[in-house]
Amino acid sequence: MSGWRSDLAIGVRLAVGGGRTSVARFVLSTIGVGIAVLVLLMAASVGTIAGNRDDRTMAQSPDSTPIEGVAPTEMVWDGTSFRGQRIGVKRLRGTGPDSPLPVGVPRMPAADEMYVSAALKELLDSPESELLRPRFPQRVVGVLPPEAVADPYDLEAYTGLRQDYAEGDVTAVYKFGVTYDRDLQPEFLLLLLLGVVALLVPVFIFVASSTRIAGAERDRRLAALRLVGGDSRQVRRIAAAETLVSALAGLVVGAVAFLLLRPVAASVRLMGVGVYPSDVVPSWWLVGVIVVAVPALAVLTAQAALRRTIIEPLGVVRFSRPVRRRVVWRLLLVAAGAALLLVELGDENSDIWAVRIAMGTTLMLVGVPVLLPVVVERVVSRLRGGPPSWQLAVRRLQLDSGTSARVIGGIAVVLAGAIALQALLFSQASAVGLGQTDQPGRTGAVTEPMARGWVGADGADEIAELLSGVEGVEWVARFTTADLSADMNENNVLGVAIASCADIERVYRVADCADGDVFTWPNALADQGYAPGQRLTSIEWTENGMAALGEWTLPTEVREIAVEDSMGRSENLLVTPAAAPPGADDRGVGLRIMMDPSNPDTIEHLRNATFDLVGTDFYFDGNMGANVTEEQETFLTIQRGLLIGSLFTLMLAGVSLLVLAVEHIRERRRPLAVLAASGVPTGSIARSLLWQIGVPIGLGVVVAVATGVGLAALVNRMTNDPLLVDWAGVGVMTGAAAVLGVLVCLVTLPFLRSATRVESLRTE
Amino acid sequence: MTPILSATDLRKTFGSTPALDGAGMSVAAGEVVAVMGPSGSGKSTLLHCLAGIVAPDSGSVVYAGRELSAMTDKERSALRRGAFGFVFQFGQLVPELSCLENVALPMRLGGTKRRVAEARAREWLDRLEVGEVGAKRPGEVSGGQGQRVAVARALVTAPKVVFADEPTGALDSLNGEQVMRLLVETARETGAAIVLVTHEARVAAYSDREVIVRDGRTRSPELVP
Amino acid sequence: MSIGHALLGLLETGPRHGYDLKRVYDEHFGQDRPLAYGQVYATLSRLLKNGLVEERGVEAGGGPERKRYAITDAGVTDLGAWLVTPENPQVYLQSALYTKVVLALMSGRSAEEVLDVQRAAHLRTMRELTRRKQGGDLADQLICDHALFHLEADLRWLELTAARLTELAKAVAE
Ligand SMILES: Nc1ncnc2c1ncn2[C@@H]1O[C@H](COP(=O)(O)OP(=O)(O)O)[C@@H](O)[C@H]1O
Ligand SMILES: [Mg+2]
Repeated sequence: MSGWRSDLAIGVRLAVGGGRTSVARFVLSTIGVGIAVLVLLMAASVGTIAGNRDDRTMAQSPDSTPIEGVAPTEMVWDGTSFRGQRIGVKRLRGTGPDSPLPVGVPRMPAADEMYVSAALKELLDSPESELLRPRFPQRVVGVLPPEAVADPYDLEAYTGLRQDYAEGDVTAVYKFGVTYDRDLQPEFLLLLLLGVVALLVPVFIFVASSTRIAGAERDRRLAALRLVGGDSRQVRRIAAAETLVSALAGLVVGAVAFLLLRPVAASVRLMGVGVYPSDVVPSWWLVGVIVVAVPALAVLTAQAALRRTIIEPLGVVRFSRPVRRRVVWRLLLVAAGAALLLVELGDENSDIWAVRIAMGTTLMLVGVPVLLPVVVERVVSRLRGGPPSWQLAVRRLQLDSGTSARVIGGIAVVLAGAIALQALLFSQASAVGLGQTDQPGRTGAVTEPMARGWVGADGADEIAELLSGVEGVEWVARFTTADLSADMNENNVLGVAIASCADIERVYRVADCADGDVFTWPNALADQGYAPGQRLTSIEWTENGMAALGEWTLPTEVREIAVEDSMGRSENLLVTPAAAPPGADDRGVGLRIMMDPSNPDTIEHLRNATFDLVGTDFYFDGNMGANVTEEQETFLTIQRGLLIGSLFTLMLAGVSLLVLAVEHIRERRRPLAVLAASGVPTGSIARSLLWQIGVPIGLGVVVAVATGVGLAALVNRMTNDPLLVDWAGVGVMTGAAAVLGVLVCLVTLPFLRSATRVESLRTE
Repeated sequence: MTPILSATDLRKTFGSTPALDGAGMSVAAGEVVAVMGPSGSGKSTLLHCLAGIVAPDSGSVVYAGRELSAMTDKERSALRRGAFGFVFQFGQLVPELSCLENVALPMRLGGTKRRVAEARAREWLDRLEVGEVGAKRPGEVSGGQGQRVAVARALVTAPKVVFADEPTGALDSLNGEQVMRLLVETARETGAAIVLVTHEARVAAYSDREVIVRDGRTRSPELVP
Repeated sequence: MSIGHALLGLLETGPRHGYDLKRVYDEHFGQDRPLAYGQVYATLSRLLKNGLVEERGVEAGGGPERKRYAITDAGVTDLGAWLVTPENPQVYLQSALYTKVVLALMSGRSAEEVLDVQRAAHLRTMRELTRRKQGGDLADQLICDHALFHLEADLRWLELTAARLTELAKAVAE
């Protein structure tokens, strides 16, 4: 036992006190493990964050189930937008002295008073909100405490409801605060599982490779220990202790970083979501798992690595050809993963289904770093010829491709996970109608800024006139709508927009519009199976389906508008009044407001104008500049978040690669120096380094893209979504991987220079 | 005979240690010159200066009428690649490449086709009596064989001057003798001059004359009549 | 060196004429000092007297130079005993070189100067030996190496001495 202790002590001593290189090694692996622990702790906090958030949301939610003896609070949901941010406004009116109040609101506000969330208060107080204040004439009488606002960035207000307000949208609230079971949608669960697996598997692999930074040097050191009489078991224990030290130090560093970064979390807003620092608390049992798993994993990988190297007293000086890696079990692993995802087992809501997906995904992702060394080995052993720099690199890889392949396995698994996630997000997004700009056939979207509104038929003219006078508004077009049906089938309705020639010419930039013309968009009619001359029925919607209003014939001559957009909803026909189908008048009027592209605040002026008009703004859909809806924005944010996460992990892998390259240079100091002395340009040697890193990276990217796309295809098959791959994203990430390789090479150049200086020629 | 390479009044200090303190020597074409002296006397530094690997603090090195310090680094590299060859005590072969590829390396870096380069390399390995180790890696051959491979690599580009710094320093006597015999014989056949740094008289006996270095200064002994 | 034993060694490979013996001896061992005929026959007659060699027929013409000699069993035994008797390691304390250096130092001359001059001389000889070795057969190589190693040893001793004295001088100066 005391032998054990002294072996461990030697290991600790070697880890922390062995000159510059061993300190560098210790620091690097500690940082590596620390970063991984930080990520893991963050991930372990997600549950608390989401849970607390849900609790707050539920505590705020109104319950309209009547309760005996309670005089309900009447409430109207209202809201507006300001520069793309949604502001929720709830108007309250008590029906008795003890009517229920939401959390954080101490008394019923009067119509000219309001309680606002901290974020809204800050916004209202800031000079930027000049164009928002007209919509909030109320006095701020209090700020909602954090427990009353789900998200620190939520813009929310409670104000009083006018006593004379009697529209139909008033809800009677008997209680604030509801409880309901949180059942995850299977699709959402899928994304979550995949996200967790795809992001955490790399973290563990990163832990594994971090603790093996500078492994060759460690082997040499252990060989020296053997030389002075250590037996192989002792050497293993010493190695274990050495790894353990950096793993434990990494745990501490990660924990400290987590504590330091917690307050910063409040200022981070990812995917439009912010968190309260006090919510960033990892669940205790996950902390336990991290504390045990990280060092255990580190020690296990170190031991596994030692299993491959027999450390002899004379060390690893003489290179001999390494044994070929076995390929069968690696393939079986991936095959098992694929099989789990392929075999039908359990329906979409069962636990088995979730477990199956998680396991299948994990197996396939783990397959990347497991397969990569074999792929690299097999490919490299077939490479021949090429320029000397290439030859140097290939020979080096043939001797030992394992180390770099393992590090690059870490990158590749991140890439694969991210590609799978992206493809999945992309497909799901398009399944729910997002990301449509990328759908085929939809070209030439209107990029002119415009807003849309919908008003009752009565006051439409006055409103249109009023809005025309608003600052920045260039044109207000009006349109009404009708619906046509070929077979009185509710699911198959052709929408029609009716607008004047002046409006059509202005909005769609068509020339020579004559009353009686009918327009459509490319493919819009043929796609849905309508043919010129077809007889259709104009319909209206009733309580129990549709009713016919009259007959209408699709003209033989329909003009095509190149610009792909519709007036209001998803109309496929645009007709002038003379050609309008019967019964098209008594519905609301759509407004389409063309705005000055150089004045992005026009939409805010519009909102203020409509607020003046009705005391509350009505729905305005701002299409400002770029043709990006808010949902698309969300989607893009998710995508961006994913990208940033992956790039970050790539960076970590880059650090490992760097260490590897530097170590490699140091190992061959003398031959490199002799080459340089004999007049070989450093460029040649640097190029060989580039190849040496580039070849495995290239292969890693290929394996990662294949696995990522394959994984997404398998999962999409389960959810019956079509597979759409975000090739641009794949391109960015592969590009990043390539840049990483080059960067690592550039950073190694100074080391290369110093190695090729004359000092290296001196013999000690 | 006009010297092909000559150095005069070289001075070089590392930190506060003077490594060279007014050293000079010259080498005629095809001549074998031994540089002798106790360890730390500045032999290697002198060799590095002569070869243009190290720039002296002062003094001049002239090769074929050209002052080395007046050349750009690139020109010096090209000169070393084309006109000079190097043999060091050990550890100069690239461990990943086979011996044959190691010998072919300088030619390949000079742009020679692989097949041509490797055929020439094979000839040279045969000439240095190590034809059988061509396919092995440096780690798999004995010290003497490795050194002969290194000699082959130094001579394969038909250099005008071969710089050898303790080429037998890590070898036993028999291997040392063989390496020296082969180095000097082949250099004489190809007309290459050799600057041979050694502290062993037996090795120096392969030279045509010797230069003694002591405390960074050189002296060519007057022979006792 | 014992010429008698050398001749015995040469005769072990087969009977030879006296003239022949001298030639082979010179070839292998006599680089510096060829044997005189007289010495050959004097030695042979001593060996004959001791029963280590015998005469093996006389060719036509007679005369001592026509005699063939062969080794006897006693000769073989004697040769074997000699070969396995270690040579007394030669101690060169009385060599001229040593004397010279000590004298030079006693008279206050520089040891390095003696070293340099001596090295030049030694190297000149060593070069010749090396050249001969490169052109010669195995026997040449062996004899030359023998001389080379001894000469090198001289030089190394000189170098060490010079270094020691320089150190000593420094220590004294300080
Ligand atoms: N790169 C260097 N940095 C510091 N000192 C050096 C360097 N190269 C040589 N020296 C010093 O210069 C002196 C001469 O070294 P060197 O030329 O290697 O001697 P030799 O080859 O004769 O043994 C020594 O004192 C050595 O320590
Ligand atoms: Mg040296």
